[in-house]
Amino acid sequence: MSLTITLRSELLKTKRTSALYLTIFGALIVPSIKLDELLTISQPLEKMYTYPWEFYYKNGLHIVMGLLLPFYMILMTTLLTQIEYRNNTWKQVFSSPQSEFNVFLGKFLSLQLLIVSFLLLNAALLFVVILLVNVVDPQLGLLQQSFDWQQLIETLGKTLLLSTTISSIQFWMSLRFRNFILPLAIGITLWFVGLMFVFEYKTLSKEWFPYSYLMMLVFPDYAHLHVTLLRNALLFTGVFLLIGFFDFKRRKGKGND
Amino acid sequence: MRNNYILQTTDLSYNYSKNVQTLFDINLQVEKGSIYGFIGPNGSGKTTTLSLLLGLRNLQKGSIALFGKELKDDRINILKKVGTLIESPSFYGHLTARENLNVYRDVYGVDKNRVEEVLTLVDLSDTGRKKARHFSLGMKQRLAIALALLPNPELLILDEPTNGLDPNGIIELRGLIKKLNQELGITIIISSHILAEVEKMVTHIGIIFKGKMLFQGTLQELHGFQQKKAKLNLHTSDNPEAIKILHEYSPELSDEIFSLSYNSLQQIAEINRKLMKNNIDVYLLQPKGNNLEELFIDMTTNLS
Amino acid sequence: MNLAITLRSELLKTKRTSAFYLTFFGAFFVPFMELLEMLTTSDSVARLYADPWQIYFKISLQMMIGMILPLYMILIATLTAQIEYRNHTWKQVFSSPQSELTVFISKFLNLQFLILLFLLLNVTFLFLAALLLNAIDAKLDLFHKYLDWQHLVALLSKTFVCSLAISSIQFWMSLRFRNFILPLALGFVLWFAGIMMTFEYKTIPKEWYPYSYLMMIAFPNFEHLHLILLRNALVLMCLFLMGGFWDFKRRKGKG
Repeated sequence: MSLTITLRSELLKTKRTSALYLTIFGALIVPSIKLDELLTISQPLEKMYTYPWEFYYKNGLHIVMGLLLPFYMILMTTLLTQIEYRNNTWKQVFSSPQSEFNVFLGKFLSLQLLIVSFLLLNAALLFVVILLVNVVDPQLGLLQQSFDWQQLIETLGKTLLLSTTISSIQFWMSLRFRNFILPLAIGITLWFVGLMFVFEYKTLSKEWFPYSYLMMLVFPDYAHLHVTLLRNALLFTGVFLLIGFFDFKRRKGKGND
Repeated sequence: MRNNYILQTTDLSYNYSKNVQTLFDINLQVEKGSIYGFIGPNGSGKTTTLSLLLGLRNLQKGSIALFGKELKDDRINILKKVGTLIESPSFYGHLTARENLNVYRDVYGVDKNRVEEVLTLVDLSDTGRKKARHFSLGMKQRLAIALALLPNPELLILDEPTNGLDPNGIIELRGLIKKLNQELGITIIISSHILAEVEKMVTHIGIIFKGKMLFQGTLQELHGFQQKKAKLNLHTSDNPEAIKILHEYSPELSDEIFSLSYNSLQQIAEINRKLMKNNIDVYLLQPKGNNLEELFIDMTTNLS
Repeated sequence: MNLAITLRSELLKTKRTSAFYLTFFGAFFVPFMELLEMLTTSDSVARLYADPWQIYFKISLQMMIGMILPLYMILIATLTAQIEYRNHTWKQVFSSPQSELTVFISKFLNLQFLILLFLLLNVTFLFLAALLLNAIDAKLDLFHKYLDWQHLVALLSKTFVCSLAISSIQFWMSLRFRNFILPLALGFVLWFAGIMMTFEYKTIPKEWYPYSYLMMIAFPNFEHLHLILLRNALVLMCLFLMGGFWDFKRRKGKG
């Protein structure tokens, strides 16, 4: 019960912040690039005639999952915790009748809520784009083709589960450091290393590098690893939330530059 | 050439948006060598005025002259002779006290010794490698003042410098400001929303309220003004009759009592005699409004 | 003279800031990754044998110029502008005897100084990493292999000139917005679109999209465009610096 109260208070804090705007406008990027691409170039449309729905994923949802979502999470986590740092409100939060645990969880849940909204918004807008293209070029015959809903739900579900690892690591870092650049720079670097791991390097076994997970979900070569990845992701999330919470309780928003 | 005003504004007006005017025809006159208290409640336009004086906001209407020169004609050279502290103390948290001053040392063209001088002046010379963000509030304020003093200024502009200081800190600051004025001959403009806080150190006072100047003059003139505005509260056995008798003092009735203006103690005695002569019993005869604080509140509430 | 004074004051302000640390530690990143890869996987070093210097620099600089440098610039432009916002020092800066133009240019030069430092540190660390590899695997024989200096210098100069377009846009945005997330998020999105533009999409002519320039310098197939890119980068820099200054003077750090 008290958690709901804290969560509501957390959500209220995001009102009119850039966190909210970033979610909405961020979700417009891929769909609008996609729309622009489909409408201005005739080639891709012809390519789509055989498997029209495949283009929903390719260059669409896959880019959101593999590239944009990690980026979004890194920015969003920092933004959300900076609300307290920028307004010097940590002391107020801790002197109000809410347990540290509720504050921590309330913040994490509101972060997750934003991430889910971002993903769903993307998925929905991409639908709109594809349907719009179908109107422009009826030859696509989109409505005659069956759409595999189960596959979409499964993909989105996996994406969310895998993403909690990155978001819990970033969450911990963003709460820890008063200086916003640290979680951002570290996060972007790790994400970048994650990309390299998937495409170039073979040093580390990538199933233990959480910033690679979402990329591996996109490419079919890694389908055999998905179960391992999901397990590891949940493990990591648990571990980092625990570490994060103890650190949070110990420091109480004192932040470090 | 303009007289001996170190700073003078003429019909300064400013508005943030089309419909809301913040300043109305402000005519500040600050004499060389004075300590000028710029007083007004929060939101009355103090910081806006001071920002205009430094060119932090662009001039919309009116003119500003510092050291007898128009601000817009020679801003950079004028600023070389002005030390400032605007709103919150301004410094870089990741640098030490000494490094903070070094950031501006060359900008004001002063040598290394000057940095040590001002640090000693504000009692921060032994803070060593401690970063400014770890300073106490009082130390931060003193660092900001050190920065304001760095250029060896002829004019010091301090916006609410007592904000956040404890009573001891305020007394110390008062001492420092008097010292700077008397020993070094620096003219100082100091703004505050609390009259009592600056009353003890200023020579001149300007009172601003809702963007308009209510009063400007020396401390003595303000006391004179206060005498003129002094009120006497009365309560008698027959108030309506008493008001008729004392009509020349333009009395005002409120509930049980009535009040009127007076200029001297002799007048109070005279009023009493008059009432007694007319067989009216006096229950209450109470002079009021004897301190500046009440006058200030009076002035500002009458208008709001 | 005035400019030198203001520039020195700007450089002093970056002391002990994360801007400075980011430059230094960020420059370790690519050399470190390169070294890690070469040392832990067997075939990576063997790939170099044929023409070690050229292949080594090609692989590592592609990553550095195309990906890390734009990211670094987006971060560093925001960081340096935030020094004033975070400390609430804009008013102090503007009430000190420095013209707006001097402050603006000094801040930009300070930024360029950091970017240049980042670039040179990267190359230096890459050299050191290469020498270390050579010590471990003598078959590389680096000291007897040809190093195309001229090409390296030309590549780095082109990189720097092309980077001016991004850094001046980010510089403007970072000064404009008090909220650090805006220049960062906008920068990342634009950079991201730049990658897509270079490799996937063909909508806009990419020689007018500055966030693609460094990609096109780093990767082959775009050599014929290099001259145009350099010219456009300079044109865009001038435009954004002028627009940026006008905006800066008007707003005076009110963000």
